[in-house]
Amino acid sequence: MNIVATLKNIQEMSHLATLGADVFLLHTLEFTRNQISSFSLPEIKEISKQSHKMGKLVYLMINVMIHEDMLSKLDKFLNEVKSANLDGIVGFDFTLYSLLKKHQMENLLIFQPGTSNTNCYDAWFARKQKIKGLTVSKEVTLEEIIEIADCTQDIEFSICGHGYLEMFYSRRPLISNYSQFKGLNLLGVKNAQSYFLQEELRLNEFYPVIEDAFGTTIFRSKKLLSFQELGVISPYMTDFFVKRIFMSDQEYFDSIEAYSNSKLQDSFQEKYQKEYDTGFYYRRIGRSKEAL
Amino acid sequence: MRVELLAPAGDLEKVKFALLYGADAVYIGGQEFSLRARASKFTLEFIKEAVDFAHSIGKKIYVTTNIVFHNEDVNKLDEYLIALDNMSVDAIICSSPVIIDRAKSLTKLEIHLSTQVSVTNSSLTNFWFDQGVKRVVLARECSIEEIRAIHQSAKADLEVFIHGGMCVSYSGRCTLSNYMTDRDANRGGCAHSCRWKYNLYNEGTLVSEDYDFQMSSKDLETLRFIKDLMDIGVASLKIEGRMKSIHYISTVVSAYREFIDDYESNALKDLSYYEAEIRKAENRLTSFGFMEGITTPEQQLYNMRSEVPTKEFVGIVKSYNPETLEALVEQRNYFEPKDLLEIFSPNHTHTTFIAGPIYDEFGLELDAARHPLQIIKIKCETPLSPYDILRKVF
Repeated sequence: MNIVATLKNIQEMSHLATLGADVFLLHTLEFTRNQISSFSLPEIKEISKQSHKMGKLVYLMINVMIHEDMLSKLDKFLNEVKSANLDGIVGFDFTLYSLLKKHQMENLLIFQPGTSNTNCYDAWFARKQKIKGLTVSKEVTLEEIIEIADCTQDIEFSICGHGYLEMFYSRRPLISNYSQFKGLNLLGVKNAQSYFLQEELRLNEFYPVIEDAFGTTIFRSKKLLSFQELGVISPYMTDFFVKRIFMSDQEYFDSIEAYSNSKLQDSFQEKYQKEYDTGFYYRRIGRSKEAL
Repeated sequence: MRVELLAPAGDLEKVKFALLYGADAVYIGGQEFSLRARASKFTLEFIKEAVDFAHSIGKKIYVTTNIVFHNEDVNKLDEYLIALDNMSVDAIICSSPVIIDRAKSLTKLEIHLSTQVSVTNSSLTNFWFDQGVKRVVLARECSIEEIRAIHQSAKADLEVFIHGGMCVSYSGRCTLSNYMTDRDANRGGCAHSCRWKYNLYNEGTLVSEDYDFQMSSKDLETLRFIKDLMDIGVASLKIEGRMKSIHYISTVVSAYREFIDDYESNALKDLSYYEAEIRKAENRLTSFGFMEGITTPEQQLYNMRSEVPTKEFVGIVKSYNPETLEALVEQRNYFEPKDLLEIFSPNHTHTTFIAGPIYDEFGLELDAARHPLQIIKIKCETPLSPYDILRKVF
């Protein structure tokens, strides 16, 4: 199972590789939400070249919702990025499939919508489109993850297994609108990783929220940790994404290292445990209030 | 192609009102596979009755099957789809490839793609068309110019939301409810956590005041964009609100019906007329959503205030005796003799009359109609018809 690490800059490539990263995930300026950093086309090509020399893989993250006016720009970008010899393109919106297919690149698509990859049939459907992979949804149990991954061959499964996972994405600039409504004149709202929400009845929960050019994303209050589940998951998964948003560089490096060296997991947990939980691995959610 | 006015209905009675008050088609959710399944009264038997009623007046019924499937949900899907096909449901509205595939394999059902998929462009529209989808319900995040551009390249028919509540998140991509309440937003359990009250902190410092950071959206109301949507060639104009009341559905449907008909016959009245009609029913504050592009504070609902309806729904006419001039009415809200009542009918006439004496069904005179669903008799010289709605004029 590959550890997929989000790359902040070219200089940290070898360090991340030493810590255990197998895949570098790159963000783009125009097609990535919640950017850690962004890389230009020449930089993407250079990173790809260097990664392959190091025996590592390179994925690109395209996680915006693709509106009509973005189609031609994205199409042009994909045409240009083709020569970068990427190993995968992680897509949030299935529109990417049609665009990639036009360039005979659909075999690079790892479909990661966050929700909706919740059953065997979605996996069969994805396999039929001959895409590279499918990231299982973030709200399914460990048992369901195994069940989904176990029912289909010939497609790579992946999981977002560590860090802050998003639970809401709106096109609305919610922080800016609020600031304007209240006359607060908040500065530096876009891309700031310093905002949190607290719901009036859940006083101990703080939900990270980020607004950028593509809208507003809200994250879970706790980061996901998968140390205990790794042994069960890894036979079924090709890629294991370690999310970087709202995380210090040191914590991120410690995270990557702890997944490749299990001896470090205890000290990691001692240092960071209270900020982590096991997400939905053991939480079965109900179809209704009555079902709970 | 004449634009379709598509209305929601949560039970059989609402289906009939929606269709009689001007909808060309109604969408309903069954007790299985629908996002509103927990509140659905639509057994297969009731769906059949709805379909038969709609077809008897030349209209259509669509059935939503739009949950995000988990493996455990797939049981009985095939027999459900076959049953819908056998009763000649006009289309299913779905969001999962499993439904599309099973429906194509087993039935002749027309397939519409739910807004749960959040389709925002022509490329994805055409992908789903090639998968067998006849109509795509566009994401509510599309502007009028985006809808125009999508239509120019789209192979599938387009359906656009024109009125009602809005998800704040892109539909189908939200798990706030899952994480905060263990209720699955994408399988009908949404707790509407986006409408709760929050505090906003920046760098650990409180920015908001007393939980007044709200994400909540005003309801969608697009009267001034209907002409554009019709000119663009959108196939269907959709009203949201399967949980809404008969009065709300009848009022909103009737207002949009009148607008569409008036526009088609070159007899459009001032926009304020149609807006005033809509305000006769209960509503949140409304705005035009994403129609003009990215939303501003104007589209947000910061004070959680609802509009007070300008008319109160007091009863439904069950029958009328032209000889005795007596109407049998099912009471819905309090009213008294001498109250000024408005007759709201499927043909849009708004005649008023002063309520005369009120009697219960056994002939006992009442000082007021106090009990919801009580059958009462009142005198009215204007002929009334079943399904007429009576409203109190303030």
